[in-house]
Amino acid sequence: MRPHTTSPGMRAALAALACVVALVIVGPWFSPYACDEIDFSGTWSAAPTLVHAHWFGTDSLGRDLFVRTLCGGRISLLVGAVSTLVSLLVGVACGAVAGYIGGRLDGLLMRIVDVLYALPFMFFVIVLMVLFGRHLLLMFVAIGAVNWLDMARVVRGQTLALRERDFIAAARLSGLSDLQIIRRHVVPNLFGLVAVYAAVTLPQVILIESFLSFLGLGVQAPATSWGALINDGAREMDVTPWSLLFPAAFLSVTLLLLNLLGEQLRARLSSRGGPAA
Amino acid sequence: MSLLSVDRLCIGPVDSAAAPIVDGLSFTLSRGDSLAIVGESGSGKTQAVLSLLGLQGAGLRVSGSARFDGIELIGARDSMLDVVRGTRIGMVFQDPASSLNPYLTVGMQIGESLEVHRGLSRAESHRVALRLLDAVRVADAARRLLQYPHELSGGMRQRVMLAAALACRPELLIADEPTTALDATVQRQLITLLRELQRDFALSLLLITHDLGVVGELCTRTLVMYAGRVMEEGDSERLLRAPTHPYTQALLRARPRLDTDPDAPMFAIAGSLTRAEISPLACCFAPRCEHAVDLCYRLRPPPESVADGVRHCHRRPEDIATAPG
Ligand SMILES: Nc1ncnc2c1ncn2[C@@H]1O[C@H](COP(=O)(O)OP(=O)(O)OP(=O)(O)O)[C@@H](O)[C@H]1O
Ligand code: SF4
Ligand SMILES: [Mg+2]
Repeated sequence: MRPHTTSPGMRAALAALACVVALVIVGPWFSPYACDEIDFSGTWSAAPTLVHAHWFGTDSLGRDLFVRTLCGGRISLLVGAVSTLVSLLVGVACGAVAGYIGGRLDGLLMRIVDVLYALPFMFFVIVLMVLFGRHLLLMFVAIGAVNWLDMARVVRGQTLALRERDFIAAARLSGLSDLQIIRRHVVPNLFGLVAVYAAVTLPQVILIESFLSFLGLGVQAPATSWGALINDGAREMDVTPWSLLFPAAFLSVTLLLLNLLGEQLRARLSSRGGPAA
Repeated sequence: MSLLSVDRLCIGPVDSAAAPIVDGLSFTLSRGDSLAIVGESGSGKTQAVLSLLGLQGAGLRVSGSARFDGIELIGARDSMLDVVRGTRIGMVFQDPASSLNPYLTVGMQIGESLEVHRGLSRAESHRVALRLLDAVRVADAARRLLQYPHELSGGMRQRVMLAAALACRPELLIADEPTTALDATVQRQLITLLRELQRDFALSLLLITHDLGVVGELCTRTLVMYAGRVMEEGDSERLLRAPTHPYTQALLRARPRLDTDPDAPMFAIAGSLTRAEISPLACCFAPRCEHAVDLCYRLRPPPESVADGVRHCHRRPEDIATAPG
């Protein structure tokens, strides 16, 4: 890839995001408590304090909220990243093949996408969760499996345009097979589009996970996520407002940063007039 | 002995009765010879040569025949075409901006056909690519090999594309307007290069252009096309000096020249190429032809053999030698 100039806003958003991710990953090691450890010495529902190193306070069971917020962040971000990756892989593969090969295969793949689009997605995920239990892996698959549809459509459109470019014809002259052309010439040229799309999908997916967890359909206790924590916190909002405040703040800031980043990427892509200008 | 012989090539949309894009194109190209196809924008030159390689635009149907060294190309399967295209026939595409993949280095793109067709390793193909870049007179080839297309100028890209087209040592090179997007100096260099390559690589050349100046310098034979049909084909030198077809005459007169009075008004062919009004039963040039007679609107002129080629026109060459009075 060639070097790009990054705007100050983009760099700031990236730096802030890196801070959040770093904090979520290494933060828990600095606290004396484990994710689901109950501090019997301290008080239940303690307000944020420096005394017992309960920086964000404790919840009604006496668990440290600082650690729980960050551990929940790990799950939320992991679900986001893995699901985005799933939707990316499936979406790019399907969209590029449909767009490049065209004809009957294109028709078939796009009808499948249409049908899946028509299914009420939340209902779909909820039924899967109820049927198969609340397994983390299932969550990745369920969210990713639904999100690839948009990706497939966008990628297909871009591939249709790419197919007309002369370097694709040149590649055919070189004797490359269809799959080789897709791998070597089509997919790399989708890079910009896919990057933007991933940046847009990531916050969506994190939000979906939080929503499911908030409904009690997401991660299984004692594991937790931001959505689950917000659910817990909302129930005790009157007594311990901090139990709602901290996870909610983390979730909002992360979503905000991701959306900012996606917006910046998108603006840059369209100002360059396409991913391969 | 003819290397490429095209016979009544027709290209048209599959699902409409619209006028064909190429209509009855026939020519032969001998080994070591060079043929220029000349015609204004939209006359079907690009689609005609693409169809020889099975690369015609989506939704177009090709009929007729094109034999390369005895191998029928029209309607052949990809596996058959791969025997000749890219190896025995090389092609330089029209649009230098879209002919190179922005995400691959120059070396990888030149070496691609060597790796696939010849089974060379990456390192071997790079060595050959280096020699090819030298052959197309790219200075500092070793560094260029590792660059990406956006780091190259337009003329440099054309050279890279030439190198890629020549990688497998083709017998025939098809070049689609290789000089159009370049400024005059670079154009000149590229013409010289093409002539040298033709000699060094023992190439037959099929050149598409609308620059009649290029024709005289590079090609022994010239074919003039209009609206997908052949107007006239013949020896370049004779055709440029004494055209026998009204369209060729008009093209020559419309050419910007340096040796005439700069204040004299530029000649332009009246009207424009509109496919919708072209009748299969008339001369396609009739609406714009200053020599048109009644017959021209009623009958499509049949091919007429002349000393050094063929012409499609109802009027005698001597009748149109002078502008109508
Ligand atoms: N896939 C396609 N389907 C239908 N029509 C097409 C298709 N591709 C090209 N055409 C039409 O065919 C005609 C000839 O196109 P072509 O590109 O061969 O012209 P050309 O002689 O190469 O012109 P230029 O000098 O501008 O390159 C044009 O009118 C174009 O609109
Ligand atoms: S056939 Fe008639 S209309 Fe056509 S070029 Fe000749 S004189 Fe002109
Ligand atoms: Mg063209």
